[in-house]
Amino acid sequence: MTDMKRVMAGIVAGFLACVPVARAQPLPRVVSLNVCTDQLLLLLAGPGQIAGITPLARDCWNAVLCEQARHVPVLRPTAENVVAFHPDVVLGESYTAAVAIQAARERGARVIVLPPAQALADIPGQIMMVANAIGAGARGRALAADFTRRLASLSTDPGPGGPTAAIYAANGFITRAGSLPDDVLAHAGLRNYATVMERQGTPRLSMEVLVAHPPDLLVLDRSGQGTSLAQSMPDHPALKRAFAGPRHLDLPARLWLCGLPQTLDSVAMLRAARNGLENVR
Amino acid sequence: MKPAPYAALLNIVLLAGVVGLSCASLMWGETRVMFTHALADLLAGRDSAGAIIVGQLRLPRTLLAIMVGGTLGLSGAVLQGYLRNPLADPGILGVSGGAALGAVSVFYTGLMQVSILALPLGGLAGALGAAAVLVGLVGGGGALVLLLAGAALSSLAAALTALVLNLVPSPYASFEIMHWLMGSLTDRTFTHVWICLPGVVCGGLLMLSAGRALDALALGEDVAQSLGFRLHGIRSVQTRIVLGTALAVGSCVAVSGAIGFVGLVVPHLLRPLAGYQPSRLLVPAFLGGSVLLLGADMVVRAVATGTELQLGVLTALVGAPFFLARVIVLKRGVS
Repeated sequence: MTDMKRVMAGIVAGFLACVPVARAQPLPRVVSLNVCTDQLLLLLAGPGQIAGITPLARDCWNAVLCEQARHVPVLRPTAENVVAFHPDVVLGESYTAAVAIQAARERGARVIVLPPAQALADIPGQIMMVANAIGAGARGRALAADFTRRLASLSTDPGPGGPTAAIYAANGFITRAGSLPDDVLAHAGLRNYATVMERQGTPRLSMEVLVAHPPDLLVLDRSGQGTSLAQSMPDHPALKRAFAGPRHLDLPARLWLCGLPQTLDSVAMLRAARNGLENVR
Repeated sequence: MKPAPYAALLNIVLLAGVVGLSCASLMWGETRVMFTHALADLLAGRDSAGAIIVGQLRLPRTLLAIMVGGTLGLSGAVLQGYLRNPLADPGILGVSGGAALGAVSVFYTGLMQVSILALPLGGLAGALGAAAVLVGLVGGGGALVLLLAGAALSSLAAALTALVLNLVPSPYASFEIMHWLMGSLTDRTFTHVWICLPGVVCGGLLMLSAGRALDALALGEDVAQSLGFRLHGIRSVQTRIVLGTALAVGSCVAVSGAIGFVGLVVPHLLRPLAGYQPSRLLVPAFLGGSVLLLGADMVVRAVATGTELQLGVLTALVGAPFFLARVIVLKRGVS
């Protein structure tokens, strides 16, 4: 019975699509399965268009747009939820919620899978992919153009002798080449300490090595809620002594966890810190 | 009772060991530092890289190794004397485990932000709870009862520690269980030294003050009582030992995690050298524990590839064979 109805509806919809009548189509309902696509969706979607984003989008440690995320429904990114909500468009990321994405494909939803942004130059393309999929092309073009313009005005070349910067996070992990934060450093005119020191073997760096061979700027990433031994590492007094004043910068990781227009704020903060270094020199 | 001829010599040798290993631990590390320059900078208050490495990274670590190792060795010697059981050790009896549970409950829930004192108090509460349960449960029971109660207590404390670490908000917490169950001195600060110090001093003095009572107890409870030592009640030997152990072990475990087997091995190794009189063993046991932990910490730093090994892994590798050897001796005595 319901199948018949659906077939009939499909036929009617097909006829309507063939008739060239300029009538306002309802915007597609969208479900997002990843915190990065969540935020692109929040930037681009029209009112009522969002059927669900992940609960992580409301976590201000991980998401820049956590405030906006409070006004839209959240959905745990499971296959069951995708099937139950049968959205028109499903947004996901290459490495997450694979089963939910498969379920969405089988239910006939339009699936957009974005790879994680690895460079600032990837971001306008990702904005446009989401914008085109959810029928917000004009808004997407404006955002992407703004992004490209602001990036061009902020970007500067580190050159071979530019100051070095290390991004130091919980447990003593440093960020290496081939990531979005690494590209942010390059655009801010800083050379990545991990690349300069050629520490490709281990992503962890002990404080003793960091103090003995210091970078010009220490970027501390204090992300994550709660207290733990891992998170207390960036607060060690040895680092406070060795990287006093303008030689360290606290930068919230949510800015560059996802490729967003807000990621450019991190470029601006790092450029300001770089200028601060030059004043000291 | 014949006094051991080498008692003073033993203490001097052990003290020299502590001093020598401390210097080595300050001078030697992952990076090469010109030690004399670093020391000069440190004394002059200059923030050079060498001064920061020696003063802020290596010095707290060395001091903590001395305090934590000494406390574990001393409390092992005191517990073995008091319980008249050569297998007693704060780790095996679950006192360290209880302290770790208390410290974890304070550290990860953010109570520590209220006051820095909350951390040692949490460790103390956990250690005291475990010690009280142990003394209450065992009473006059034999070695088997004591070890069974200890095994049950440490398993329970480890399970509860894992539960707390899984429930707290930090995404890193559940990966840090190894620190609390095995112990490590990586990246400790001077704050941790100050947290640890009062408990170690007060607890250590309480334990040392019980030395003569332990000698009397070695001759039996009746003899001890007839010599004028009170065994039960508020001002008794029992209170002093339980409180002293809990204070010292609680504040140490709160900063280093539970490091096992030090309290078992050290008194066992030193007893033949110090003479079989419990009070003579106490100071050597403290110094010996410091030597053992300083050495273990140097090895941990030497073999580090990427992540450092937990200290308790090394002490367990050294200590477990001793424990098994004692069990075999115990078995022969029974059969």
